[in-house]
Amino acid sequence: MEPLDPDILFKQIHDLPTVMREQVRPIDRQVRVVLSPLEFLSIRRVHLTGDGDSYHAVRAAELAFEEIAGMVCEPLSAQRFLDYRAPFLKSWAPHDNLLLAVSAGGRTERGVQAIERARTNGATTVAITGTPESPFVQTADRAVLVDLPDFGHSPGIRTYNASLIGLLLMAIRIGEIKDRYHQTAANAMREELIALGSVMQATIAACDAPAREAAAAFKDAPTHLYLGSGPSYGTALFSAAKVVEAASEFAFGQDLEEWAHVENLAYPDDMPTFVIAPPGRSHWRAVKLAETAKQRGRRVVAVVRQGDDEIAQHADFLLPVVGDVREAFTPLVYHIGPDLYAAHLTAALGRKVYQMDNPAFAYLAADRPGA
Amino acid sequence: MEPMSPDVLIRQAESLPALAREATSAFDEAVRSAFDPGELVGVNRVYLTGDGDSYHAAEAAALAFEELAGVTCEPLSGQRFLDYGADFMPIYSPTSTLVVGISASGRTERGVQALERARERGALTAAVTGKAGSAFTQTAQRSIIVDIEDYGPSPGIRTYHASLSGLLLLAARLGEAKKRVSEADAAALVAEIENLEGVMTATLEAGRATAAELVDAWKDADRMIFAGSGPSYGTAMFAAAKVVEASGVFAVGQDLEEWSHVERFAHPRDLPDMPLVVIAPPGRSRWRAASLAELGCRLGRRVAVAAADGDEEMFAHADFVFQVMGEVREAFSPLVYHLIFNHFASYLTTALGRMCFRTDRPRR
Repeated sequence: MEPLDPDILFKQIHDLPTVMREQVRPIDRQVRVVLSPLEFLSIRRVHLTGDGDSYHAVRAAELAFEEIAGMVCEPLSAQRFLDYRAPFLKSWAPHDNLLLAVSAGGRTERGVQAIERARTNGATTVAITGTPESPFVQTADRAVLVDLPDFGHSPGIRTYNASLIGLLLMAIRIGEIKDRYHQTAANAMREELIALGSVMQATIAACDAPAREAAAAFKDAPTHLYLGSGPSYGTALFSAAKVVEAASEFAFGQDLEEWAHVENLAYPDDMPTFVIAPPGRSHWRAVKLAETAKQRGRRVVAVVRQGDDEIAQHADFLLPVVGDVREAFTPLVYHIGPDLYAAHLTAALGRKVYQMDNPAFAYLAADRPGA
Repeated sequence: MEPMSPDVLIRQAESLPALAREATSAFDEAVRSAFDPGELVGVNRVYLTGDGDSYHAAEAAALAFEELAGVTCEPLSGQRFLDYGADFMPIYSPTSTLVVGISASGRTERGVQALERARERGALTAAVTGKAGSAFTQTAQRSIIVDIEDYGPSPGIRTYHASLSGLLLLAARLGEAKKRVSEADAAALVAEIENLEGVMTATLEAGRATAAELVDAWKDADRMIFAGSGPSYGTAMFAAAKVVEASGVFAVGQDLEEWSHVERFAHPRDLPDMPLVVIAPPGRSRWRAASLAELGCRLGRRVAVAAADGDEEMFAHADFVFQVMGEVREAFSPLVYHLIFNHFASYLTTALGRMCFRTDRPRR
């Protein structure tokens, strides 16, 4: 495979508004019929699983299933679901357990095994994948295809949003069928998703310059930390993963509160620390911890709604989101600034994605994604 | 705060075998006396919540609740439970959902708020804490006091053991209440924890020299990853936290499978040799731990593993091995598999000329 230039990341990011405008309706058409109304009505617990970006997506989507669909929901990485959750599934009626298994490529081994184990233990399984005829599609009871026009190999950014769209539309559909709200309200939420294309467009424009400046300032940093809670924990995990994949630098996503108890004590003091804090349930805590981080000497990047001065006052750089987004939908938008940062960092370091051009790592070629 | 010597970690860790022998029975009595007769029968869902070490204990104990008590168990950090988990708990009766708040000191703010929110929502609440009369015991409806002799300021090791023991014993007694295990089997589980004294002593004996060698080999590393799954995810986070608290070196605990999808692609400073520790007791995810340790070696990582004595397959994929000397059921493995990493954290801190909790530096 030819070494990937960081431009591929920019290309992916700039296409995100189009993905929202063009993909929500076709994906929704599938979601509406992927289960029968009776099957939707029978769901009592939703299990979400995936690996890597797909795990980050299920983490990010949990709140939507709880808040919008009113479901008990636990996201787990595929191997943890396989070995530690599936054996303990409890079923009292047909279709009461729903597993949504996510994989853009549709062939993640642990995901396939997780689907098999869940089916064996009586769960209804739905694959959310971008790849028709993949092992995910062949193994699960049903599938929602979130396939996109091919942009070539890259760390997943468009596929991440496509998976999230599938998950969020499933949450909306479950709540609608269970009569938690009228179909008018359900349709309004679907329109909300489509309208995020405009928020994304404005956010890309607002974040590009500060992301480039932050990358120039932080390019020598040995470690990056990304903090978030609730759906923003998923965003933090995903944002950190893009730095690892694109720039090969070490970055880690952490639960907001846990940082205060553990990594707060780690050196170096000036570790770049991204605080992902949309308006919502944990914003109050993010304000306090951004202040704590700044006092510790951390270089703080605030990923916040434009105009959120409470957190901005503690930040060295701002990656603003331009527009209102309900918290459950924020994971679609709040990774954009960090993605731009990852792309600019890779360029600032003069690297190719995955360091594919570095002869020192030639021996890793067989273990790279897409190899 | 006075400079805190890294020796405190050794003193704490070395005391754990005796603590298992001497305190388990009292902890069990604290569990049994905390609840009204019959109160636990209807519990079908358990939330475990805490921060830092207490959150690690919650993650480490979840399997015991699933396996021994047959209840669905979800561990969440205090703030995540407070802001996200509590509002969405299913509550079918006053005892259907049990929320256990964990805090050695009994005063962690988010934990207190979490217990308050859980009570407001109608869950049955219990505190697992070392401090009677604390904010935790005043907030929760039931209290399990796991108090231990105070060894002075230190990164929490004895308190972690106490909290974890309280949770594991609660899982066993919940299983008994729900007739998943007989009274005799529940008593046998308690004895199993007491009898870990021998395994712990032998494990410490086998591991001290290796911990020192590991520090010699890894003291140049400014970041490292501990990976585990199931209860060993809790162990991985706890072991990493001791490195951070003691030495300030950036260490993180990560889900085993997630490491293979994300952090394995990191080559900071153009070097592939970032240290990786794989926690791999016999059990449900041991199969995956072996393949990922092998992958770590292939990628050029410096790899250490903690595995059962004689687990040659794991040892084949490691530069350093910490052998756990004796059989431990997976659900109880978190009581043992962290042991030697406390020594590692202590020796590393000494090698770097630092003091615990940055007490050698002006407070910021």
